[in-house]
Amino acid sequence: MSLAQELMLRITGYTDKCSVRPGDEVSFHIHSELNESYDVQMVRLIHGDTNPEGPGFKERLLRSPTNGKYRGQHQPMYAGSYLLVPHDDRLNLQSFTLCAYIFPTTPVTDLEGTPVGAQAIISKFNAKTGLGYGLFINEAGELALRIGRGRGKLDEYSTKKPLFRKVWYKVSASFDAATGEVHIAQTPFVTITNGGHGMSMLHPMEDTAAAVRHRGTPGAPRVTDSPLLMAASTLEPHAGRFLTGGHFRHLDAPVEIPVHTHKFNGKIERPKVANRALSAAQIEMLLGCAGIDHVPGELRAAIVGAWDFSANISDNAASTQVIDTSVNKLHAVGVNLPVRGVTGFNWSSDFMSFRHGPQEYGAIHFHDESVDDARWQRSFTFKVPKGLKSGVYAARLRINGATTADCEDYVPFFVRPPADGPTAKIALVMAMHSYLAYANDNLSVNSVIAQLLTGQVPLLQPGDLLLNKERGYGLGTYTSYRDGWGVNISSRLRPILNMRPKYIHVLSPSLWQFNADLHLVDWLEQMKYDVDILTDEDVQREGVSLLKQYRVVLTGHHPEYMSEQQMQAYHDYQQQGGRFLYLAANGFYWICQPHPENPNIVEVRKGDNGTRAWTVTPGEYCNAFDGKHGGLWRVRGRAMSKLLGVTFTSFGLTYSSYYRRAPDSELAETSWMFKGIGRDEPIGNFGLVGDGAAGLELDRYDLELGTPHRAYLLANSEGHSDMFVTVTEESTFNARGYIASGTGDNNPRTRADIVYYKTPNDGGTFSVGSMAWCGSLSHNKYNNNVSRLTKNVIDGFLKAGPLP
Amino acid sequence: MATRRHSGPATALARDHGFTAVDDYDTRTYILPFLRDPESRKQIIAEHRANPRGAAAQPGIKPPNHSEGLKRLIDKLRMTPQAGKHTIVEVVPWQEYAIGILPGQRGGVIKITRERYATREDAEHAIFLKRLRALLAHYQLKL
Repeated sequence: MSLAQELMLRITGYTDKCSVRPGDEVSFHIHSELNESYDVQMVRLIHGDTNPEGPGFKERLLRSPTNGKYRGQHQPMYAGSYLLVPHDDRLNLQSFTLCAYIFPTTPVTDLEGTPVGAQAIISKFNAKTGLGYGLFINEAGELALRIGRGRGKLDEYSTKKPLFRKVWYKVSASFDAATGEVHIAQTPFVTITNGGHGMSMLHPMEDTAAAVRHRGTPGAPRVTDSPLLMAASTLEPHAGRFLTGGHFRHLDAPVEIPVHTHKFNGKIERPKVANRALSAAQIEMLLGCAGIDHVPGELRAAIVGAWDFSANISDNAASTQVIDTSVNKLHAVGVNLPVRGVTGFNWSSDFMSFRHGPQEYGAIHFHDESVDDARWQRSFTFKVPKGLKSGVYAARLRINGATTADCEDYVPFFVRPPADGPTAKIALVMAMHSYLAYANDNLSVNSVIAQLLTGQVPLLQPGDLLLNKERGYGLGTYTSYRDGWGVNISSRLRPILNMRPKYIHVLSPSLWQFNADLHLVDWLEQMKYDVDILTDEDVQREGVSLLKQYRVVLTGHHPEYMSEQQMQAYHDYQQQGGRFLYLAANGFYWICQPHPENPNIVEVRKGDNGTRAWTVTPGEYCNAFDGKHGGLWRVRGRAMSKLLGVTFTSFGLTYSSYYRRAPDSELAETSWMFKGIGRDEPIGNFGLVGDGAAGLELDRYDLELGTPHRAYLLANSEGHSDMFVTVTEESTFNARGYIASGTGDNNPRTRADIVYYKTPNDGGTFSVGSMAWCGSLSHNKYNNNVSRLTKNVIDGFLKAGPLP
Repeated sequence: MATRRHSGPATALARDHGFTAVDDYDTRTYILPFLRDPESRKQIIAEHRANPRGAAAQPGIKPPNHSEGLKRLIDKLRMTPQAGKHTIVEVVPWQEYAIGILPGQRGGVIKITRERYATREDAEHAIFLKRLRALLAHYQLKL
């Protein structure tokens, strides 16, 4: 077996748990592309930046019974969301009718021009054997009924007219097994409001509307034991894969899932199945209601399945269960998190929330690249030893012991202190929610504007080549699905190839997120601070009662994605006297909610406001996971400056700049922070992130946006290049010369501010307003003014008693 | 199962003529004059060679923003469609870099060319020259 892609990484994996304590067990799920054996070495990660100008890569090897050689297994990713109804004989039909509303988004090709192949809408069909029945979109983009009776014969009855992208249709197909007669129809249902950003005037209708009668072959479709699927068909009905627990905990028993194919991109609404050939009038009536309440008594028994996607929308639309309102109650389950809380064929624009108008949100949007859980088999486990120091850990994997980059991967996890209490006075919260949001972007390979944003040609490492081959392993919120819709979920239960030590990131001259946060982990170790490592997941679950155990809490360099529970925890911590260092920029910016039943999966809806990778369709602003308005915290009145003193002002994903001290740094309340730093000394004109401490993204104070009224300006940066642009939420008008639309060379708000303010109960918050700060800590063997300033603040914050 | 192919309306609007026409106008008006003049072209190439990926600001020194000619040229070169676009592939970290060609489709194979460079900056500048040659060729000019 050879590789089509040269230089590609051949091994990767993920863990079942994120943050564990001594005594817990972590399982590792590993994929070896060519089934090669690999060596495992458990390590503690300290510094992941391999740049020869810095301290270099640092890890500590752990002795562990987990270390050793393992046989490798190729484990495929079965991406693509769909609904599944387990096989039931009531669905093995002879005569039948299939109908639904659909809104296809890749009727023939995706947005890159790649043909997507045939797509199933409703099927009980085995694609390998060609047996069963299903309503499809065929390769020409036409609605088609396929019936497989066996003996190699698959009949297709098509409308012969193309379906258009971003148009709602009523679709139906009826089949009379006695006569072989087929009626198949696709009728555009275009209103002034239901096309999202698509057309509301479709003329002439004849280009796409069709109702065709075929004289087909009599005889029932062959019986199969395939499940009934919506938005897919079955390739392999029994593949040893099951749904259980987590966000499937409503299931009484594990449900088997197939290997699927014929993956559909787009929305489906009100899918219904009947066990006879209904008339056009009867089909019209069926589709006229979400359930079957209005169906006359004599017809009710003929409806074998009638799934109402709005039926269990309440405070949220998070359930993976989909309700069958027919007499059979053959409820469906959603695999790979098809998107709920999305506008339906009847969306009128009167409602902006599915909580307020669930009847207009009865659709589900399917994407053929979605992943909720890789469901890979477990390869080995690691039991966290008692007494293991809290830190950032990983299983280092090397194919046959080789050390080249295409043979080596690290699968990270975090060890927190034991349950009986903290082992340090300082906590560093690792930004797991932000790592998830940024997971597995395909910007280097697929984004036209990546080079404009970053001022460089992206560098691809072996992991990027594997990620591209695997079409993103489910992708992340910094990119779009192939149908143009933004990726709104991210799961930790799959390899996240840009959450790795040694990784060089497309959005930076060097590092970003997880690997960049190791700059801080390393510095804390060098300065001999005892630090407990926590994660967003821990703060989410335990709130301020966790943070309060620490005299000082630190962020990493980019805690951009916060849940409501986390925002509350940090607010409470500051109110209760906590001492908080925000060593970052653009933090606490996006609303990011975990699934209510699975903390490993988060959701983001990028709305009309914000510096963003995509914009949600009109009406779809609210998170399915909690029913609340998504997007920026600013849009919910909770601008980040209320918790940080500074607000996101600019980004320039290229080389950095330095800071100048400001007059507030000489006050009695603040001068202690600058001990050993000259008044006119530039701060941070060096560093591993763009050669400066002020860079990547910048925050400034703003009294109009929630900066506390007694905040001090300790320093501000200057000299940012014209690649540093203003954030879109600040540019409400663009005009040449208008400050708010300017760049580093003509907008005085393009700068990073170091801000400090006191909080109740002797608390304090110190913010650096830059993502490049932590990259400067190690300069000149850790002897520099960025290190000095940070150390002075931490040491001062650690002291008992009020702050000066 | 015969597969028909349906094509959409063959209008200038459908093939985005408005964008292409104005992009061509802007290139001829604002970029080509910098490239026709040999001195100007040499200066732009040397400027890129000095800082292929940019540089940090230093106190007391004017930040190294691109000159107008390089800025207009490089912003255009960076916006070419993904299919066939150059990329840089790490062969040996910090020691060896290859030039790759992007497929333009997610999941497609990235073709690794034979060219090798000792630094990422060298590869970046080499790509710049290739793109510049291609742009000039499109407008029947030579480097």
